[in-house]
Amino acid sequence: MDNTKMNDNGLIDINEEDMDSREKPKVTYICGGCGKDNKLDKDSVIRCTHCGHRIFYKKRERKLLQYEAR
Amino acid sequence: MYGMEQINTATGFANAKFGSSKGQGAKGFDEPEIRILELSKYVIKFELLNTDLSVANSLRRIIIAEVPTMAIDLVEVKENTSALHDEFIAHRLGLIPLQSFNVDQFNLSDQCACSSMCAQCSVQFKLHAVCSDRDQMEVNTRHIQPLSDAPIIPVQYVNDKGIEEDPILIMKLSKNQQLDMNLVARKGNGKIHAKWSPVATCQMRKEPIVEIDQDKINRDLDIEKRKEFVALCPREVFAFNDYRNAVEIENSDKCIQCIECLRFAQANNLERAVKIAEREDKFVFTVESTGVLTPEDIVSRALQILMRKLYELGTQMKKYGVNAD
Repeated sequence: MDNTKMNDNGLIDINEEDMDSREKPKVTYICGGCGKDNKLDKDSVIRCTHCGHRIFYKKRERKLLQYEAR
Repeated sequence: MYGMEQINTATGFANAKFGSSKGQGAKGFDEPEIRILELSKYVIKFELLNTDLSVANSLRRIIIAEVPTMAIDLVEVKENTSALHDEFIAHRLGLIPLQSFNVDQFNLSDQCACSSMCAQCSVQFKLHAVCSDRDQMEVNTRHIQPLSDAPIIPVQYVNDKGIEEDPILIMKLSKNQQLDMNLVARKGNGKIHAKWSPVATCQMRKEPIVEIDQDKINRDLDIEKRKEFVALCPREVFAFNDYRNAVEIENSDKCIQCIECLRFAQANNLERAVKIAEREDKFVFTVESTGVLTPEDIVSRALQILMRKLYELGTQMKKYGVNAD
């Protein structure tokens, strides 16, 4: 990624301005009140656009999941 | 060295002997011997005679932790819309006993020639259940369908009358919930995880010895005291004979060495009149199978493993010049 560079502590520094200019990643959640899907990004208010409910659930991972039966 | 002269599972097993070739073991025991007291579909009771506590205990430990069986070990979840989370269901599936009569034809997965999974070290199953037409549905071991023709299937229990019992309940689904999983069973033993243990219980006890000096007790104690003596034993080892007005030993096998009778005798100045002890050369085993193997099969397999271990130890000791006898 060209908008990342290492800072003095060896950590990746993300420039705030660069972050704003990029399209924010949106994640779909399920509303706990009405059950409709909502796309939320990192900074948005946790509030359903349809019913105003403030509790959301994560969607299930779509890939095959493996578990050890122990 | 202990060497089994004959161990056949069904017929020749009843008086199988495993003993030293010289006729007498290291501690001057006679030939070790097994006597079967009771054998049913899931339980075996037997006596192990003329061995040391260490041998009996190693047999017990091998029965519990080293007899290999099959169990579900890997769960691939494709769909799970039930109320229970994936890990929870996976754990439950792992604990289901699978009939492992053909366990010998499989390899342990870490000793198999294949890189991850093959027909020699794993058995595949499918678990697919949808609750569409009812309010609630039970998912049980009948929903586990084998994907190969390997003879490994979930245990079907049969009761005393020979009637099949209900299959094991795994979980419940409510309307419109569904479950779709691939299951992989692997070979293992109880050392790795208790789900591979072939037994529900495997207990071993020394046979108790109870002796009373009838003359002393029935002379020095009055009748009330004698009745008190009989009543104080929590296991009802003693009985009061009404005709003779005397204390008798009813069932010494029930004794749990609680020494209540010894204390009573001491309090009444009858120190030597009551003796309780345990036989050091006789062990009574109760082995209860989970249904994965027949109980007699578990014991004979355990004896084979014990023999192999002792043989291994013997050859290694000889290699380093230690006398293995």
